[in-house]
Amino acid sequence: MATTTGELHIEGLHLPKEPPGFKGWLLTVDHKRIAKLYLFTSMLFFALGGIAALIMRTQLAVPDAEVVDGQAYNELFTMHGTIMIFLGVMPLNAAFFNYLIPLQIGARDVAYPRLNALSYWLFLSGGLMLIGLGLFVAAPDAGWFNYPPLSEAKYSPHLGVVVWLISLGTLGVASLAAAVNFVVTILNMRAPGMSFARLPLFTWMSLITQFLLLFSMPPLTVAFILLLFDRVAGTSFFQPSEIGGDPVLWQHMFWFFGHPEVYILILPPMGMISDIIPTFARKPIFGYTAIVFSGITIGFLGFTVWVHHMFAVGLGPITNTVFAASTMLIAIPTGVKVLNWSATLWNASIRMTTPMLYAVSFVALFTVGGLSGMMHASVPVDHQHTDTYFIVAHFHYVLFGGSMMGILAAIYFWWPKMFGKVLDDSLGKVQWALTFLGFNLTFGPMHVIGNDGMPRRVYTWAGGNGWEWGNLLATAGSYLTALALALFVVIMIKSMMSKEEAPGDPWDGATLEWSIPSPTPFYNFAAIPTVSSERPFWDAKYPSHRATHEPGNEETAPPALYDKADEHIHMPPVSYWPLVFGVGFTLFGVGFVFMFVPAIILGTLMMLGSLYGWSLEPS
Amino acid sequence: MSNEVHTGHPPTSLGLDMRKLGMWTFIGSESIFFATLIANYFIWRPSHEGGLGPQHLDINLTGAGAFVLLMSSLTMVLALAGLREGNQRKYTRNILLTAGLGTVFLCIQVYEFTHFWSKGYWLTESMFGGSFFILTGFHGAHVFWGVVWLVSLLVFRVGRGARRPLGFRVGVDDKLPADPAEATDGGSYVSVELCGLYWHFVDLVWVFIFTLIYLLPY
Repeated sequence: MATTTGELHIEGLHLPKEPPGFKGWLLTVDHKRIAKLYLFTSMLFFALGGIAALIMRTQLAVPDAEVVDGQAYNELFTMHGTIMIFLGVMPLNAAFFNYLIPLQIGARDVAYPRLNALSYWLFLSGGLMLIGLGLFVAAPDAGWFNYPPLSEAKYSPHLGVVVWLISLGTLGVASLAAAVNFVVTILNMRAPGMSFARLPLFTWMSLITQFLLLFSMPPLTVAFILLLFDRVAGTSFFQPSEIGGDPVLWQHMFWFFGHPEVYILILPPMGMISDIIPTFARKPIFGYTAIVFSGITIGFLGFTVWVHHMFAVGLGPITNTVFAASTMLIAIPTGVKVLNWSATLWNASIRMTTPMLYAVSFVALFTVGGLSGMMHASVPVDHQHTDTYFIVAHFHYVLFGGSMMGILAAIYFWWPKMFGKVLDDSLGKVQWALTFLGFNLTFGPMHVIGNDGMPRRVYTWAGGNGWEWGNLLATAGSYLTALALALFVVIMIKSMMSKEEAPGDPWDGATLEWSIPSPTPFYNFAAIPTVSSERPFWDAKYPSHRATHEPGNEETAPPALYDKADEHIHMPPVSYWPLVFGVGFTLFGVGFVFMFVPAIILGTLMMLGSLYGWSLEPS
Repeated sequence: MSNEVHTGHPPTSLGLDMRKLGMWTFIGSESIFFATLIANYFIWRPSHEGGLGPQHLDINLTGAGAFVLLMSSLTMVLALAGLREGNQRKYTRNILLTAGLGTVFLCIQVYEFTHFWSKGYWLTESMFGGSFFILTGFHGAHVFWGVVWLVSLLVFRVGRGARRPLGFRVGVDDKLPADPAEATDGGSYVSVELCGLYWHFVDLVWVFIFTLIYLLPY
């Protein structure tokens, strides 16, 4: 029965099947289906955030433009930032947590499949509330950082900020539930032999990300609660009044979440490319342990640098110096990672496929963004750059040049595993070139016009300051990027309609997910694998090139990946309750925004009822 | 392997129960939540002119509340001991006692809150008041959900007579374990332990709140 692939055919073995139809999708608890739901929902949200960006760039193309007014512009940049971070990059990462973590550790699902479904429904609920209420009731307009006193009832009297607080609170609950789920999955559901020193790097970086979520979300939740009390109950935690109140407290609470959030956005793509680069470099990753430990260090130091977002507040030279030092410190583990990726490419026989192009773009562009970030560890430089387009350029190089390039690499790379079809590689290369060019055209010039003093978050600008060429280029670049992403949609549709089927192992991969058929069967693994190295599938395919050489033991063949078939495969049954809970939560949230008590009561009852239904159901 | 097939759940990598590990992870996150609320309280502690301030706190009353809540941790342990011994009456009695003591604690808190409220001290008169009511109020909400959970343990016996959504049968192995006694025992045992973990955590948070808010100024 020993075999390298998971395609086992055993007489008399009944393999469980996916529940059919639309209803099956609504009630699904399957991590692969939830991953696809995350993927396509966040792509839709991402497109909305992109449209907001295009309107802003159209407005900013020439001086004194009148496409939108100041209020609309405020709403646009608030929605753009909030959507891209919470409804774009985070759930795109979540799609890959869902799809890959169980496959990479050799499990059949996540630890709590129903909680996983609930995370998705809460994410959808938060997203729909933000966009639906934002479009049709009142759009938040105080920035994605939502600084008081601007966000207090006195200065933002409409419901926009409450909509923002409630929908982001919902997304926070979704992230927290997912974080608990993935922590337990990775810690407790690894296949035999899959020790921490053998975890694929994507899974490692995901694990660190979940801990960041666990510990950075609560302060944000408290900040949300206090601001809600300010707006609804008349307290004044964040606005100066006769009895006290301090806007800077919000900034501390927000950035205590906000800086780890940066690593929540970037660590998973770092893990993705750490799995992609060695595959196409056809070499083991350089310094596996260094990548793991630098990731842990980044996660830890991420909690110690938040004040560098507040250097211009004026907290005093000592505070600023301490946080300048910790910010410089965090460049070390990040530099270690860049070195590891570069050294993996050194002397390698590289296959330049589309995912590889995106992965190396990540390394290059993220380094640019990282270096411009380092400049702001210096307080005087930060003072010069605060609230200018230089900052916009910096964080887009990290978030688009980093996170999005990594995520696009991952979509091209794992698409065959997810859908059983290949994305067109030649078209993909064109698409990559357009994205790369469009991105750099958009954000490259912003370094220069920002350094020349063009302020951000201002809806129009005056000519004669030398900002004309930069803005025009940036707008042209943003349209080119939009074109590139539209081409990506075409490539996806083309792949879905194509009859060509992807093989189980299209890229000659090393980790467990490539050892099973494409698309992944409902039950993932017909037999649970036994892992004996950090590149289990590679070693099974090429026994003479084993990654782990034990001294004096070079000739021994590795133990087979799959040597014993499971007689029974237990898959978690579908459930109504995550969906009911999600609908209840939405009712509660919308009811809270409008202070409509019946909706709040009905929502609470639905949540309570589904909790009971949930715990009485067999799992 | 036979055991694995029977329950349908493979053994865990760390040897820890899945649900307990999840509860510990959640508690880790909750600790930061309360830590932030406590920090917020300390930031605003000095600002109490014209409103609720440390001088209004009655340590005798909340001391009694703290004692009651600590005793409820003891009865929670006894309830689990009853379950382990297979002593159903001891289990039921102590779960009821735990829920009852939690309710007494909540009554004391409600009395404290209404007492301040009747004197005209609420959220907006002083920063101290706002941060105090939000911190202790969120703790009280946690106690309340703990009481609901405890009572639910007795009302619903987990694992017995369990149903599934209509219309689907997923997989050949998707049936209830053959031995209902094992299912009931294995199922409800962990759910009681989970409730216990949560309850002890909420009690522990009160130990911090009581020490930092009531005992320190006293």
